Amino acid sequence: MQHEKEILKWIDGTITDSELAELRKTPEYAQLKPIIEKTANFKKPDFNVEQALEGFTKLKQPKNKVVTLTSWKKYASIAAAIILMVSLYFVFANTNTTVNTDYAETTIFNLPDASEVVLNSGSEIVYSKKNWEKKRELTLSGEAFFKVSKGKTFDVITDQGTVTVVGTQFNVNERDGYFEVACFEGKVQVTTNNKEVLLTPGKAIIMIQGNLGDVTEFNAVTPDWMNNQSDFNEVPFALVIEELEREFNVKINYDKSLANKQFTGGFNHGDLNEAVQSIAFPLNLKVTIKDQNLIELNE
Amino acid sequence: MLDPQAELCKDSVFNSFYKEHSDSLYRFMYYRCGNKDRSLDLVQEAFLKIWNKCSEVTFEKAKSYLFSAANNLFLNEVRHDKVVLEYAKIKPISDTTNESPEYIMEENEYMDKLQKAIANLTDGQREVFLLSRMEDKKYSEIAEMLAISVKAVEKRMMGALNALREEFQYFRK
Repeated sequence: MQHEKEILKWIDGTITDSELAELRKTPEYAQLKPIIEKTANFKKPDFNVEQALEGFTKLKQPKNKVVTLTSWKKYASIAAAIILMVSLYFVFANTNTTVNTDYAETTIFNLPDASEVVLNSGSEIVYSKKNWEKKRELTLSGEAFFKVSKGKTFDVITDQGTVTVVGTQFNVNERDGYFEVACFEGKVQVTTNNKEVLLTPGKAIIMIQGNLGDVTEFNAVTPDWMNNQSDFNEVPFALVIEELEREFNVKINYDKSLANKQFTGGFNHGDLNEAVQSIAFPLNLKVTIKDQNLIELNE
Repeated sequence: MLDPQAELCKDSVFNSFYKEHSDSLYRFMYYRCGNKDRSLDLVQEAFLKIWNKCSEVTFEKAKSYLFSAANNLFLNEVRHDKVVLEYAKIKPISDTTNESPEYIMEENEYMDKLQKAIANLTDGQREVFLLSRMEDKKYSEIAEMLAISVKAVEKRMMGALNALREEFQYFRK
């Protein structure tokens, strides 16, 4: 096509008047003019801005904006991950197992080496399942009877002393101010206050208020408490009352002047009334049962 | 305007930005792909791209980003439809027209022919021709929108004019 330059300028609206006057004389202009003019008759495609914006608003809302981690958030997430790993480590590494009993409750359980433990009421045993094979060692507070399987030394650690045994049956009773170990089979070594005592079957030792007594003998095959019986031989009355309170989960009020009185005797775990009578009778005490959980002893 | 960069992230600002440019972008897309539904989709997608990067785009640059985003989206499209523009047909029964029936017939015939001629232009020619004629865009603006040189725009325009002229060579009016 001729006059291209001018035609392009004309279309683009940048043509000068004189150039346009020249262009008008050309046949090209005559041919293109109607085309250019008629094109203006076309409608622009309809577009509803409001409707489109509404659609767009719906589009952009559910789309979660990507939140870039600011540095403190980064560190916080790293810290959280570390805390999680550390706590997981402790949860799985610290495999200490705790077995405890409430008042008026006893339980029997096996240790990892099949040693048997009978836990008396109000007592607690803590041991490590994971380290059991390496070291047979447990912590006791309260009273328990042990049937130890043969193997390495077996330690029962209490606040008042440690009991070391090899393949045996023995009872450890550790209560406030009272520590008693009775050997039923094998050999038991008791270590307390830097003193060591070796017990053979049928021998027991008692320590009251830190004073280690002589080795005594007994005939039972199993501890009396396991036969639902508590027996005492020259034991302060307070400790007897405590034992009764534990076994029956009751509260006993009595004259505190009797607390250190030596008591020899026992009670059966079967019936509360009978048990209270059996400890009250030797001391000539009158029993008043206030209610299910409160008993008074008067002279 | 404390933070001009984040200005675009405000709903009110973005909405007015949308209202300002969405219809011209829509028509631009329509002249390119010839499908109204897809044009609208392209418009929404392009705006969504800008919205998701609103904190990185300044208000001044937003428009050119918008158009190039739409362009890139368009180039990913495979199918193109013929662009068929509508025109208001002159109705013979209209009271307001006092043209002769022959004139009206010829006029509608001419528009039909022009419509087909435009539809038969190449994509490149059609885009340039319609942006210039329908949107009153300067060659330089078209060049920017299509990301091509002004020379290329002029070449496409000449191609369009030649093709249209040839169609009407033997059309006697």
